[in-house]
Amino acid sequence: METLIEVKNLEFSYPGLPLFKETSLEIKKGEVFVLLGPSGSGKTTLAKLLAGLIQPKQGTVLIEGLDIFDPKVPPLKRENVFKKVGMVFQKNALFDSLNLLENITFPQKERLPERSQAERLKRAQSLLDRVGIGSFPTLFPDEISGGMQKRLGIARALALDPEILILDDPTAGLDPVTSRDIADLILELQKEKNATAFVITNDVSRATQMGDRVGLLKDESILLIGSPEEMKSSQNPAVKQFVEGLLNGPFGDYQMEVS
Amino acid sequence: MITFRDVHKAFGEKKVLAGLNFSVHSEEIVFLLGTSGTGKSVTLKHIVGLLRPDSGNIQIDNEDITGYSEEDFALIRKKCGYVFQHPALFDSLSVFENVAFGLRAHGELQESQIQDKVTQSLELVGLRGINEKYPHELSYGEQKRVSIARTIAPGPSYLLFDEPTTGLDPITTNAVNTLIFKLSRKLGVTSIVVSHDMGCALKIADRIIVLEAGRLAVDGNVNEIWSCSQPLVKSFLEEVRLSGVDIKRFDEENPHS
Repeated sequence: METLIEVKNLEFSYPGLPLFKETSLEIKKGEVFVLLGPSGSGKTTLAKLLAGLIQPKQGTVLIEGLDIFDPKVPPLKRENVFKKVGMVFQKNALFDSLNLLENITFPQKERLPERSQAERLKRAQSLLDRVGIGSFPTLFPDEISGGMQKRLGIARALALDPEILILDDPTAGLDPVTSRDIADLILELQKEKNATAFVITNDVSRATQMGDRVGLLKDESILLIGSPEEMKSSQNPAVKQFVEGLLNGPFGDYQMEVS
Repeated sequence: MITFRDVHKAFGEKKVLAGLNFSVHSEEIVFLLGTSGTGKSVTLKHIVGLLRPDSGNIQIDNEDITGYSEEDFALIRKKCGYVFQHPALFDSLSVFENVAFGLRAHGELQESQIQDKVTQSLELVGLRGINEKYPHELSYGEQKRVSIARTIAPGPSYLLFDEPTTGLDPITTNAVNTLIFKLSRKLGVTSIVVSHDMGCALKIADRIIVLEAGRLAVDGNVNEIWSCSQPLVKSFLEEVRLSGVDIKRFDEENPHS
């Protein structure tokens, strides 16, 4: 299988907060890679780096072999690569003042001006139907539940038929039944298009459900664990601490004493 | 003891509680589990009078609070400490002032008594020497503990936790869950924990109540839940199985704590 996303020797920090050091990762076409890590370990930052939303201090991110941060790359070429990326944000980042349908026609208008408005509307409605919220297209995001907002975020990310999905904690804060449904939905849509997915979560059950391969952010780098089964049987102390929620281990002492 | 009898509550067309019945006994740790929108948080809000039932009645310590006035509820709120999902600290107040806030609001204590209670409450959750810090200088875990200290400072006999671990990573989840257990036992209070997390419930709950469509669906101890065949319970247990973690009871792992 060909490598679709390649991260090489990435370095990134916020003032006073180093996040990545010599971080590398390869994701193959059609693969679902799940990245686990404690809060504050830099998962969302990595998603933003892959989506080209922020720049690394050093290192490269190649998508289909194109170095997305290389200033010599013509903007149009870069734009063409990013058209293939659909992103679901942790906090949805929906357009509050647009209704459900308009939330999905808007990105098409911006990125696919050649599509007619009738086609955009048709596509938007079929996506809403697909994620199970198609019967109330004129409601606004704040009029639907959290799970439905997630579904809308996923539908929007699919509007441009992305080959790459970057999903930042797509089930955060949802109950387990809804989480499982949403994860199933994502997998179904991903498989239909043989899309490649980079999924961020801190939910071990979701990693098991979704991941072809699982990694864990530790020490400013990605620890490659392997399949979900390998994750569960791993004897690596950091993996064990995270998966089992142990209060002591390489991630530090989380014990909250009562005295 | 807290008892709900045939409690109904609707918001417009939407019926959230549809004849809810359950009891929580003294010094129990009870988890209220259910999917979103089944009325778990709405139930907690009824206990402290933030919401009033459309019909049915609610008793706390054998007193019917259904018809209580706002003033009457001031006493209930002193008795029932509410821990919000997010720490919800006052950004512009120091840790000390955050914890003292509720004590001052009740208005019955001398400054020296407030000092003592704040220090005791912070020590109880394992925080020392951070009185003068501000919320933004604290880690999430510390903020969570300050919010719990603020809740326990007035000496409630009930602790109501609204989704204390939702969205947290597994290590922080376990740390917060363990804290709820230790604190409840140490203070001898009754705790009601609204949650989605069956794993947490199986580790520390004395009893697990599962709500579905605004009604009690299942009420049982941990062993009964493990062997329960109700579809929603099975679905929640499936989540535990997916995580691959072997659930151990906290009190069995730590018999002397």
